[in-house]
Amino acid sequence: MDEHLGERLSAYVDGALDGAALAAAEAHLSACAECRDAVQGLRHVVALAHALDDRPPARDLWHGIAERIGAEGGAAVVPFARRRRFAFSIPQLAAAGLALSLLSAGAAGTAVHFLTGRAAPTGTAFVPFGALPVHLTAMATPYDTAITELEEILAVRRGEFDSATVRTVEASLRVIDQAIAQARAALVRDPNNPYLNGHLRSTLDRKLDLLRRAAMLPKVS
Amino acid sequence: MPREGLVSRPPMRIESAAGDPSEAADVARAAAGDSSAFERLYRRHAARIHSLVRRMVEGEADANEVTQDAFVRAWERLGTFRGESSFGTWLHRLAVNVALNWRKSAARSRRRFDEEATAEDLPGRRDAGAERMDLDQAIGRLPPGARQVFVLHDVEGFRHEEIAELMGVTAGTSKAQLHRARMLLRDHLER
Repeated sequence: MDEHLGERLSAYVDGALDGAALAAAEAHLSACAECRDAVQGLRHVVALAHALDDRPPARDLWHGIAERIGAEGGAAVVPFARRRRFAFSIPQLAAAGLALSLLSAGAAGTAVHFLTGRAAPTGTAFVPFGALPVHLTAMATPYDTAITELEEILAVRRGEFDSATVRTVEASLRVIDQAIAQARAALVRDPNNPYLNGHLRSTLDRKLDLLRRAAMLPKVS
Repeated sequence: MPREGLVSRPPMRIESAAGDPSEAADVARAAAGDSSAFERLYRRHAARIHSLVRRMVEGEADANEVTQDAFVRAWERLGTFRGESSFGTWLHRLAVNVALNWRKSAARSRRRFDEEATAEDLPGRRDAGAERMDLDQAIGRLPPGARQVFVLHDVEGFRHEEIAELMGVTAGTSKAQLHRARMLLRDHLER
């Protein structure tokens, strides 16, 4: 009989062998009870490892963290002046806006200029939130909460951005808001359409992501 | 069914890039200096990160220290978080690096890690009905290299190539360490 499989046992258990190596391993296993037992034992270990639970620390570690980051009792707010520099560039944002525009080519309408706080004309029929089906309202609620919070942050920080950044962010948001409005309008007509539901969710994700990135932009010095 | 006091670990590494909407707002607030928002992030991820760290280092006290280090590092580096993955994934990766670097620290030379440990050094199994808990404890007694590879590969779902990059070893070394760890644990469970 050939020598035992050794490390190839783990590769076999992980499905990492193919071709001649796999055929050789299977030939060996068919004749070697010891290696077959090892395969069974290794699979058991792997299955247990996948099933391990997470467990919180035995004591609360936040106090020590709060002290080290200068947050007394974890409640202090560090002024913006202490913020660290961020790595997003205007070209990156512009690229993001271009990619997002592909979601809704030709879109001309807009929902809200959140940075300026003024409403803008919309090219798509606006769907009041209350007109949405119940399950869509439930989906939108956490998004709306988060979006509102981020918009508040951006409103506070608006003066820290240069005009080109503001224009880029607003252009991207117009495209996203247009897509959201279209998706919501379509869902009023066909509320259980899985594609439309997924599209709305992903578009809300995109808006949230863009807002979050914008909120983290560095201050222009 | 999960044990009392435990929380189920989310599926390995399949978090969406966007993540939870409310979390995204907290990330932005924390990046702007709001420590209350950061505390909420800590509360949400503490169990996940502490469990990862506890398995990669040895002992609850060390795990607490490294977990705190990881969150402090996250606070300091929030500005580098680009949102290309979820915050949870980013934090997880950062914690892996903190735990790996912690091991390398000269200050940790007092460690009782023994690369020559064998299955016989591992504690005996307590009872057949607590195999997962038993495995969790046994992981902590593995030789450090084998333990870290096992945790990263079999618990956390990293690929050998990723582990090799994180640990500064070859993929072949990662595979060998994984097999060593699995065989030690298998022998332990079958005792």
